[in-house]
Amino acid sequence: MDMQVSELGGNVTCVRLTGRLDAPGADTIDTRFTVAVVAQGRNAVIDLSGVTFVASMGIRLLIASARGLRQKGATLVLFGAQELVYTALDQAALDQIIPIVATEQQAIERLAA
Amino acid sequence: MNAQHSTPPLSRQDMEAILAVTRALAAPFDLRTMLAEVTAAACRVLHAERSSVWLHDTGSDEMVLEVASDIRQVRLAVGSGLVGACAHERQLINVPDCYADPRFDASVDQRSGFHTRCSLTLPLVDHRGGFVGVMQVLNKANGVFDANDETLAQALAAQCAVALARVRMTEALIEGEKMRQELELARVVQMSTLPAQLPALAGYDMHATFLPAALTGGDTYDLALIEQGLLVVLGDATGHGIAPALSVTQMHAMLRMAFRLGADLETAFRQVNDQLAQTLPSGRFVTAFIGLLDAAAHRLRFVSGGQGPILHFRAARGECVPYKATSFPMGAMPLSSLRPAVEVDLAPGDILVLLTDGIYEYEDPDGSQFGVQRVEQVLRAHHRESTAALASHLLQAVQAFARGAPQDDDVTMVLVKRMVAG
Repeated sequence: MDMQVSELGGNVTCVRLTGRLDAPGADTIDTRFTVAVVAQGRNAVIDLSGVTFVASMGIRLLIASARGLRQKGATLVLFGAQELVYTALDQAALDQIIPIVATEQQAIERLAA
Repeated sequence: MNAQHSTPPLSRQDMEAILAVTRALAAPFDLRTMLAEVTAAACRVLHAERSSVWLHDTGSDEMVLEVASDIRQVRLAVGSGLVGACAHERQLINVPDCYADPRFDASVDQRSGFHTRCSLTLPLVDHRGGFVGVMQVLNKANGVFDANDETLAQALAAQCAVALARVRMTEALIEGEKMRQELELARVVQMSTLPAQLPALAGYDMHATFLPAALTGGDTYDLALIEQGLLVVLGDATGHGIAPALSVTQMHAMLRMAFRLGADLETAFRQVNDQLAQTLPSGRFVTAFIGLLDAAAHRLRFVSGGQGPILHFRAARGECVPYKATSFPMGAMPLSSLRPAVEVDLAPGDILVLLTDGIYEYEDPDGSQFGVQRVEQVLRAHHRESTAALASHLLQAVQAFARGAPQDDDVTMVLVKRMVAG
């Protein structure tokens, strides 16, 4: 599991994930991801297009981050999920807690809405 | 003076004294007793008035005085005083006149009323070469410590370091055993929250399996006849071990209480979710299926917080209808709205199949996961058998798939089958 952090316009953090977001993958990025996404307390978008698989511990990381951001008055949006990953997120009704959109542009628009 | 010269061999008498210490140190298993033996032996063998053992606290990088006859709980920074200097330099320091040595810290004397005349201070190094502490002997009777004393003290220090390692290893084993016993107790408590016996419900066959990955698990289930119908619950707290076991047991107890107080399905779900959102630590939540079966109408209503897929095996078609969660995992945050409960009609032979991700995500040695399709294959092959037999087939299929790969997550199954009449 790899992650790259960048800044988008409008004070938005963007984290691009690559690899398997399963238990070992989530463990690999756990602290770095939380620091990058939650500690800043700013709106964030997560690019899942490079994620090939997501399991429960990966979903846990996303939920914990969304909850942490919400407590700071900020929002997390996911975008670019491949079909297998989207299905796993959908099974857990994650869309009720974290907006899931198709593209980066839609994610930014969702934050602006 | 620091010891750099060659050490003289031990005399027969000295050797016997050291061997006597070795024998004495073989007995005690607690740190204080062992250190008391060492300091007493040091005084005896080296004809010293007093001795002490300082242990290195790696956390604070301080030297801690564990045993001395009249001073307790003294801490020194590494580098401070002769003990600190020895800890810093990791070398024997033999000082014939302490008050003439600038490294000597007279404040300990001032606190104890003791007058230190001469001292021998040497590092304790364990069998792996790690620095563990400092032994110090004070005031040789009728003189100062000589080269022979240094040799004796080094032999004694080596014995002390070995004994110290042994005692610490024993303490770690005892601590581990205590932890195991506490985990065992937690397991008993958790298991006591599961149904001791599954309810008998005419026209239905049901089975539950709970195989925690650790002594305690983060999964739970419930099958109980309550006023509102047959309560069917499958819960999975993130992770496994004590913390998730507490989370899931808390969810289980809250649900039982809500239904006992007459709550309907949606109200119970909402109340328990919002309670968990307030009480669970950050980053913890529980995925849970909560259903109520009206056995007369053969209709199941359910809500699911993050627990999916939920499989409805339809016997007539020999296929599974998967359902996803109706809401996010319980406790993740308070509910602002709740999707309506899902209603499923169970036809004869139909099976409600609830499995935690410990089955779906069970990995083989190549990293492939068991997945939903393999579950469906087992259901199609064995759906006419009892739910107990079906559960057994599922487990066998998982084990065959795993090819010896260890169980990393809790495995829990709840199967409810409407029996075929006649």
